[in-house]
Amino acid sequence: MGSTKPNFSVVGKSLPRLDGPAKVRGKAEFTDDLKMSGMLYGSIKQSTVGHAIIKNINFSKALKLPGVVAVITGKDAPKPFSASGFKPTETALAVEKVTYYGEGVAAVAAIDEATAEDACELIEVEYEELPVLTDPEEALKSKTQIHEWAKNNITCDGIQEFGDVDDAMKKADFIVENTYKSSYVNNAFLEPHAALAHYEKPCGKLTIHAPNQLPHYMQLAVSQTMEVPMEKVRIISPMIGGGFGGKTDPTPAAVAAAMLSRKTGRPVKIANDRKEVFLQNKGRHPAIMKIKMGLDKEGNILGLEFDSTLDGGAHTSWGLVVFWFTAALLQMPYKVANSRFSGRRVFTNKPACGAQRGLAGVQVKMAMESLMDEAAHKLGMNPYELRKKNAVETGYKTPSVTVCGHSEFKKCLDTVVKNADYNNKVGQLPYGKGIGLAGGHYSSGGAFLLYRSLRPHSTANIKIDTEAGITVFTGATDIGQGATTVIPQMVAEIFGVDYTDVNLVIQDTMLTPMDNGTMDSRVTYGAGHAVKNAAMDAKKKLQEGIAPFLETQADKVSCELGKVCSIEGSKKEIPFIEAIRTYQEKHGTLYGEGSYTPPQPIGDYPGKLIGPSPAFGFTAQIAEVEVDLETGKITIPNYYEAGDCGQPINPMSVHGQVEGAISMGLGQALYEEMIVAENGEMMNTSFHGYRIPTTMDMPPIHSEIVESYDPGSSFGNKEVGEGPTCAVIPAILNAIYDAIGIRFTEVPVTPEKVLFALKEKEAQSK
Amino acid sequence: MKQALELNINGLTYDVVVSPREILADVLREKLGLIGTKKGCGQGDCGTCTVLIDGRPYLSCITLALSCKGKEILTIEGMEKDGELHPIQKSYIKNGAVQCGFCTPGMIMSSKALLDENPKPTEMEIRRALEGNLCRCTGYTKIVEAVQNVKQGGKE
Amino acid sequence: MHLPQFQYSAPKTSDEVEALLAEQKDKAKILAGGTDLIVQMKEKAHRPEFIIDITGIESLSKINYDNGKGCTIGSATKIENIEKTDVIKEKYAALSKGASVIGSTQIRAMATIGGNTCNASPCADTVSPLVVFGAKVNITSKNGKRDVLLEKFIKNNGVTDLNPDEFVESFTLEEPWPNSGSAYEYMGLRNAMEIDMVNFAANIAMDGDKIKDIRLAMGSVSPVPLRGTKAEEMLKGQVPTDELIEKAAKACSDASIPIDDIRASADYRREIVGVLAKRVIKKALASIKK
Repeated sequence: MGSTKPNFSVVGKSLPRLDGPAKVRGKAEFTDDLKMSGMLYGSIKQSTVGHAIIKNINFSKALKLPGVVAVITGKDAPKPFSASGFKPTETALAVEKVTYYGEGVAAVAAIDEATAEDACELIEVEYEELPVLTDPEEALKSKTQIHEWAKNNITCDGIQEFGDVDDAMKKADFIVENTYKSSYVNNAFLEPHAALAHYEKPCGKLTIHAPNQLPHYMQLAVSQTMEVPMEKVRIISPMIGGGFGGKTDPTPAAVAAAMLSRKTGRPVKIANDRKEVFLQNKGRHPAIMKIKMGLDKEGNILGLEFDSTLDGGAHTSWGLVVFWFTAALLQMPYKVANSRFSGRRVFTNKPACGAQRGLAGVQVKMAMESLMDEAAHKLGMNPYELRKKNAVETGYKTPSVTVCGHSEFKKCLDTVVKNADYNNKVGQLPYGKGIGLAGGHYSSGGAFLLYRSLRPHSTANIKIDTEAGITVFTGATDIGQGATTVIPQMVAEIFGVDYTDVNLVIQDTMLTPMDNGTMDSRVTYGAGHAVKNAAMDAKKKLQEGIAPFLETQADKVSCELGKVCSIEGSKKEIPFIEAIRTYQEKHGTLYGEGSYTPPQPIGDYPGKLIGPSPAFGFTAQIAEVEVDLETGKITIPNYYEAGDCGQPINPMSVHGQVEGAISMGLGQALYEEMIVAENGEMMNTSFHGYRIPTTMDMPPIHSEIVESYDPGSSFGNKEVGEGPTCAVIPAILNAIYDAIGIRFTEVPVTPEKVLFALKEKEAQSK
Repeated sequence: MKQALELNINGLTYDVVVSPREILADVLREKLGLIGTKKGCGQGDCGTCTVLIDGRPYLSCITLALSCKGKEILTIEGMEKDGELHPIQKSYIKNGAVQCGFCTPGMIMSSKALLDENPKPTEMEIRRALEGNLCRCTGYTKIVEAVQNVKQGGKE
Repeated sequence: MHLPQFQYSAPKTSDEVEALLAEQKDKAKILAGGTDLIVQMKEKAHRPEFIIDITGIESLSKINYDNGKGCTIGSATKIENIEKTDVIKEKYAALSKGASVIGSTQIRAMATIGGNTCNASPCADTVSPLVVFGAKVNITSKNGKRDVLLEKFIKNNGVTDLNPDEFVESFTLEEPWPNSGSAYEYMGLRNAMEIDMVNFAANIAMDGDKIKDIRLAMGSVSPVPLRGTKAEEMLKGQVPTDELIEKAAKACSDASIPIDDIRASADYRREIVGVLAKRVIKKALASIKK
């Protein structure tokens, strides 16, 4: 571990969340809880075809319904938008053409929600239907093109190659290869998307309240599609009821609310129902992954080939990022000197895919970690030994010249293997019972974030005065992960005060400085750096300002236990708030500012902007499974995890992140899948059709945070939110293999698939 | 036809005028400002709208407001007493059972229904009582712990 | 997602319900727990003009066990009461079990046995258990009362034998056979909040080491509740050996006529009927007090 780890007094403590009281009392205000005077309610008319040219929209009956104030169509804001900014295709309401079943075609503002919904039923739309493409491999070959610019329906494609793969494969003693297919899943956060927009005509200002993980990205996207100058657009994210990546793109509903507000001059709220969330929220890309690995006799990985076809659905969203991040994630957590990634991201007539917790990693690790087990079996090696042999360590430099600044991945493997007693169980349990191991890693924020990236990724301000104590201003967002608790813990550490004494101003593009927001597991790392720098800046001013009063020098002034004191000489001390009073009498309000820019990506290769990160978190996980051999039903009696997140700022929150990540992975492994019919209609747009794990499905989770400290980080901390999601599917697939000797290459592994695979195996053995 | 309706909520009587199509969750949220009751799915599948009606956990998103005439409704806002949190609420905070917080009010109401009937539930009884309350953030581990650790089973 | 417009009435007696139905006929729908109807109305699958809420009618929510004569359960009885009532647990275990696995805690607190059966969904968890207890549906209207066997009452997926002016007052279950036991199991993807892929109920009476009486019923494998008639014949009067149970289970599987849908394929359902049949028959036998 890092030798420079300081003794922390607030950081590293499992302190209760600061937003806990508001949330348990029902006082926390989410977007749909907000009201404004004169507010109207909006509703969106959805298309009932999967792919079609809009011939005509007749809304005269809707306009006549008492209580209806306005109706709009796509023509009212035809410029496409997306958070990523890369080749956007989506508009709030379809313009001229519908590209998926359920896409909005018109929107109504009325005096209440029921009236707005009733009015939508009165809108008549005439379509000229086009062939519906639901399969990415068919879409690649089809003469039908979903978007004019996208030849063969390809959003983006490319090759990323390091070393000499063909030579490595020739030299390999063993080759393993397989094709894995990951599934079409949804973020399924509990709070549906909603937006309350208010366009004030007299001053040309547009304010949107919406649960968005990236308010500053949303601001730019909204400004572009609404053609309102960016500085006149203000995005406020109220409490966010779960995001997981699905609240990164501005929603069609948010933009439609803005359009309706501009038309009516009144605030307009649109709250999506669950069906709309399934259709318009953008979840994980399904991937068809062909993977091939060459190893020598000792188990060293010599070469890796990976080809991925990503099914993007109807719109671009984060397609480019998911595509190249897939390539980047092949470079760790194992040393791979020679690799070739190839792939393409394809449009289909389905609800679009975007970002979901463990973006790209869930797909990559499903294939890679399954293949690691296949390789171990072929070599006759313990899967743990094979992983450990190839595991990256601190200082490892990938062929793409990304440096792994700090890794305790081997410690994660050792710890989880010990805790689950893996070596005494793997290959030795009775038929029907199994145990499976998988590893994973994830970045702590990208080095480059598509646009506005040359400026600092995070800026934070701090204001300290006797009027409000310590107030931190940051554009980071809390989507439930706990930023609003860990940031005050960091600041409290620096000033030696109680973390409950730190106020936060967040999630508002007007009140807070620019921040890249909550994605890519970057907040505690990136925003954490900026907040620490701001606090250190203020502390330095305080030390200098108060030193004469304490009859000492600035570098001898310490802030601890709620006091400011001289640690040498006079040994004078005063309560923190008195020190601030003293400072303020002479200098006025105390301000600090800080920012953070990650090191820029180096090297020159396709897709180099996506993937490099200043720090990587690691995880190792073990699933135990029991297979009901008569029904095929799988149960998971126990689940183990050991993680390297650097120094945990709040261990209780870290465990909470890990447990949540595992539940999302388990859901995708066993239950969840969006089912789309041939006409493009999604068949399970509800929580009884799309089944996420319940209390009865989650096993006891035994997670351990391994001792770790990344000296390159603000408090030694690294990623934890996403990496743990990525190892779950392969841990379960490997455990199923251990139980019944069947290698599943597709998820979800339903009882039906298991039972028929067992029967096939039985028939073959006869 | 709109109808006048008296609703007994958290020990107080509210007069509202509702149309038959109005559901309890909307009346609580839109007409009475009791926004702690959430709407996560509108189809009775997620449990975020759970309130207690005569002590039993009901899904207020599929309950007609008019059908609540003469019944005692308890919402999350009625859990605290003079600003002092209920032991279940305290336990949720202390045990890290809250993340995004959207499922929390409904989860707490289901916990209350359980503990009122069974102050010392087993882990399996807790899991079963909460099976209709979905949470996407926590994996439920800390929620189950929070209910296990409620002081005196929530009796005040 | 809002409900369509309708008129609402919450009568206090069965007579009032009869009068309202006589007037409104098929314009009206009976609202009990609402866990199916309200959701279907929100999805605009039904647009009744008139809703008759029967949850306030006390006489419809009673469980009356009359020793030696059987048990009558009011149609508005909450599922959780069926799950938890001692007499049901002791004498009609399959029904208590079926009730206990419906939806979630909240759904069981709201939903009623009348709703679960009158919705006529092939996957309803109380229907198969009711069938094995020979349940009769007690139907009433302004024109009089009649009863019909539950297995004849459900005509098709979503269709019952009810005339527009009729409603279900209660269900009458036979007195349990002497020396008998019952069991129920279902197959779902998750361990809670599931819509059954298959369910199975058995009620078996023994005479010495031989089966004296037996009823088997399966759900979610046909548009209507299905009796395992052939399997019953195979087992009746016989010693239930593992081998014979296996054969009977196969007969149930062969008798099932399931469909493919998004929850499971017909082939899988057929397989599971066999597995559940075997397990449930054994469980029912094991539950018989020696």
